[in-house]
Amino acid sequence: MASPAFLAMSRFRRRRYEECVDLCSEILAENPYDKAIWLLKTQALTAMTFIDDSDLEELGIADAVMDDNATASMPRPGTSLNGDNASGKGSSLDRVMRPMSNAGRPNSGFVRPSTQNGMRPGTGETPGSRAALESAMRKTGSSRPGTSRPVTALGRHVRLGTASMRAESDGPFIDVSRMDLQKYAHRPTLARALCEFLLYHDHNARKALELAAEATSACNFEDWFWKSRLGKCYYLLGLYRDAEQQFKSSLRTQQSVDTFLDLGKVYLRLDQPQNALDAYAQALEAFPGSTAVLTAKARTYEMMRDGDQSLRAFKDVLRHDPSHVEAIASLGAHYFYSDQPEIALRFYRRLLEITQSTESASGSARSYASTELWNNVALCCFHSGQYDMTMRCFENALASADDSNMADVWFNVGHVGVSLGDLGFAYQCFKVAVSIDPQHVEAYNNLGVLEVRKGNQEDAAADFAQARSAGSFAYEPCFNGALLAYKRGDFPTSLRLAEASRVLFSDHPETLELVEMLRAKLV
Amino acid sequence: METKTAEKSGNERQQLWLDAWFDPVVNLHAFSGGICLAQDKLLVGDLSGALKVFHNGKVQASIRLNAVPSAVCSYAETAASGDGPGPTLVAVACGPSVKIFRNLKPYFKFTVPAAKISQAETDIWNKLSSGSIEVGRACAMLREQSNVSQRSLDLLALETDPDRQQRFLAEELDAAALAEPLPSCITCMGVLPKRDRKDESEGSPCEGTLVLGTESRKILFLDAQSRQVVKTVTLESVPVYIAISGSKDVEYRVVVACRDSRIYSIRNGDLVRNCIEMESPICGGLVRIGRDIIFACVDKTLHSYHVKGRKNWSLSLPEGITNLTAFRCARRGAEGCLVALRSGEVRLYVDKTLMGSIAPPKAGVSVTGMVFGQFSREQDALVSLYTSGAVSVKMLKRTAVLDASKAPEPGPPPEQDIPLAVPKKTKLYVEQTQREREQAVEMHRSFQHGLCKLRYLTASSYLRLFQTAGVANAQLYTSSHHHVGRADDRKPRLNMSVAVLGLGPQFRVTFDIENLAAIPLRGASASLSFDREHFHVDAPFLELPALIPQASQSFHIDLHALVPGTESPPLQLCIVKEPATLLVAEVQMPIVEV
Repeated sequence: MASPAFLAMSRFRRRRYEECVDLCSEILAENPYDKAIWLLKTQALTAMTFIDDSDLEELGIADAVMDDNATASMPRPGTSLNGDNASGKGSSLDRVMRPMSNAGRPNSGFVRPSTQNGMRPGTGETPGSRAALESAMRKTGSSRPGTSRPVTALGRHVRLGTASMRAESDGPFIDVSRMDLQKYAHRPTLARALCEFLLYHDHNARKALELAAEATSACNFEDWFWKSRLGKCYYLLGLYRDAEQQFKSSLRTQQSVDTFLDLGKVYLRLDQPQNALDAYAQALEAFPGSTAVLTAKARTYEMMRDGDQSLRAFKDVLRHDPSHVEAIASLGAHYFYSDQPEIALRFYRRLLEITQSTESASGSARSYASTELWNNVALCCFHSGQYDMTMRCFENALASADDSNMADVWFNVGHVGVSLGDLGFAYQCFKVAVSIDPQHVEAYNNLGVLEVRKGNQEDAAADFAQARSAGSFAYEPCFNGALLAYKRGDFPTSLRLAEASRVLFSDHPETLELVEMLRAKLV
Repeated sequence: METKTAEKSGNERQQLWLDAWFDPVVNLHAFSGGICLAQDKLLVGDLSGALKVFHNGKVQASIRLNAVPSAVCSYAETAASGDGPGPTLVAVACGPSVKIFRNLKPYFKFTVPAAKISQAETDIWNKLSSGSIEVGRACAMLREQSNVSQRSLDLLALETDPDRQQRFLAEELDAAALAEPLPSCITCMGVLPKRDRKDESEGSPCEGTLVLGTESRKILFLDAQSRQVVKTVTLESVPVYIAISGSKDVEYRVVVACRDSRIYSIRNGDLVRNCIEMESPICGGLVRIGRDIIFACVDKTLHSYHVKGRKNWSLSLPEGITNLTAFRCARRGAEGCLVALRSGEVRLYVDKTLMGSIAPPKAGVSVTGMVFGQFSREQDALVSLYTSGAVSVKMLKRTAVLDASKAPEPGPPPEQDIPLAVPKKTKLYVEQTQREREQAVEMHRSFQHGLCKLRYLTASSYLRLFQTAGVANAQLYTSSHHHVGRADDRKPRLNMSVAVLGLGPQFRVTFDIENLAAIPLRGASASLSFDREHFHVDAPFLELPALIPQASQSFHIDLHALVPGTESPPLQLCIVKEPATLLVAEVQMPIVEV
């Protein structure tokens, strides 16, 4: 019989955290002052709820709307993540080539928190205005109920913290409010574990900040760990400038990948992508070939809509880690949208192999992201002429789809219907898509086009209007609506919609032509 | 970037010309044929029926003509003694006659001899005068005739205006008038020089004789005194534009554009057998440059043909062409043509290279007539009249570069030659197409099988929508363009979008309803069904006002959530009009955050 303490450590190493925590609880019940076991339990609890926070988390409504860090409303090109929609021209992220996500950004190959929702409210809305608030609210309220955005980014952490606390049966393991943090600050090992616990288990940034502040002064401001944790706490509390200072100071003492990534995150929050890229470049000098840094770099380029650079970085990532899911997915998306579906197919098949092998290894019944993956494979097959595989893949996608992505699959099936020339089939698909997701902008837009072909102009106008109200990021419904109004002789409406389309996509040649024509007629 | 360079070169081009005289309120209206430059005078046959003579920017004389002038020419009278040119004459073609002025005083009038009227036409007129047939019938019969006299043409032209037609008939049906055939109208006029004028001093008008084109499809050559017709050439159609080159003493060629979109040429008095036939009517004018003929068609094209009929080039212009005039700049040895577009822009083409353009004085006006030539002391002047009645005289800059070889490359912009970054077809793709070729039958079969299954799946999902009534105005897609919806316009059709506002515990369900039918919908109501455990609603039932077609109206219902932090069952919002439920929308509520 092994010693319980050894067993607990062994379980911790084998990542059987729950068993480890149980065992530790037993030992601690006997001897509450066993510091080693206390440390082990803290670490196990932290590891259980640990999340990879190296990626930019999504922005809460209040963060987005009441943002006072925004500096320039008209940034110079290439210096901001909120650049106008026209940038990315000529690259694979060109608006004409690649559809837009809900957030009004080019669709990325890999869904991350920040690709789901807009970084900040639309450029037309001044932060803090009623319209901006309402649009942000609408996004939470109506677009995808159930997966609403938190009010603030910190709010989500609070929620996570309470959730992890509730999981414990007999009160919280560590009651921070009654703790003497100063005492812990002088015990570096315990303090570190406690700090991580506060950050990743309790999500209590305020207390963690207190502890880190005590600890860093206790070690004469020389420990890089405390400085980087201070930075993290400041970041979570929204004090980006302080966070930047701490991270920089920490990096001067000791360079580490995490700190570089955190620093990059701070710059991205401050809307300074060039600084973030500089930070990543420094990181790559210190840690060449770090996939985490390379991925962060690629993501940043993607957010800046620099498709070519992003592609290069993702290729770099893949060179160092051949089974990096995000890189494979992004490259697949890139090749698909740059008219090489046969190569995209290779990437997606590779992904399918990876997910299926992990699936069989973990024994779970359903692999992650398989709906989207099947859907993408189907589309690649269809466009590269492998027709025999297409329909089977779509069936797989539909079979594994849930409410969140089924509408998109139907939309794509509808597209295949349009390509086949079977408009009745396409019409049904789009109708099914909008019945599942009443906010599916693209499906409404395509329904409108089909209605125009049928000759039902009123229905088409209603569909376009619906598409416009469902999402303010797509220019197609505006342009189509404008064209329809023009054909019906309603020039003022047409001009209004064409102007709206021009705001959304200032380089769309057809829109510009229509606006000019209408101006000549009306003015 | 690209637009900037284009603008720059556009500016350079405009600097070819200097403004000499511009008068926006001179109120001149004439076509190119009605403008003539005679030494220091500008002669305009104004459409108000007057010959206006301008000198030094002022009206020197205005001579009433009692008819609308169709062409104005100036030439030197052939001196009786035969040495040197005589005094300058101005010929104005009005209706069927040419009025010739000498020193701006009426000198002589030549009237085109009337053509013999065919027997069939005479019969029709006789019947009409005796009243045995009515006007409409007569017109129909006249239209069937291949070649009718001027009188018949006038009658047919008045067909749309019965009152004037009756008045015309009352005048013309007089037996005495009928006996005398009406002379036909002059459509165009040119001067055939007597001898080659290479050695002569520029500017002074040359001796010449008049050449007339008439409505009776004839080209008439007059003698030196313009007393009688020397030669008559009959064409197949009515001439509209005339261009003359060469000289009577040596060799000459008259090129005529006709209303049948053909260009005929007459060489030394004989009609050349081959002609140039265009697909669309010729407009704007006809220009002879060297051995080339340049003309425009109404399909916005500019063409150049060799005089013998071989095509040189044709250009497609962005807008319709209103006028065309020859550009001959002897000092710089440049020859070309000036083209006025519908937008009012005037372009200078040397060969087929665009050398420059002149913007219109203001937007919306275009050129009605223009002439290039020597005006007063200025050798290269362009006189143009605009639709607004303005007149503008421009001089060619002395520093203007008119070398076609130095001009920017014509044709498509250089950007067009840069290939698009279309990725090459990969080896993988080639392999896959190979597979497609080899296993085409199996692939097709498999695809059709899959498609069939998917169609079935779609149709059944679509059917389920009807059954759950979750989709508004679901209807079967018929690919025919025939409008099915009209018949059931009386049936209410609604479109609704629902949104939930708020963070909780107070929520507001807002819904916009649009009536898609053609008639207003009255007496409808909205009701919200909800779980009483989770929500409290003060007024779950809402009487809707009349819903007007094609207008979106917004309503709201307020909710109070009772249980925070949990997911609640979806609400159902129904739009009801007794006895039927029109629409049901399911609303998923967000989790109460606060």
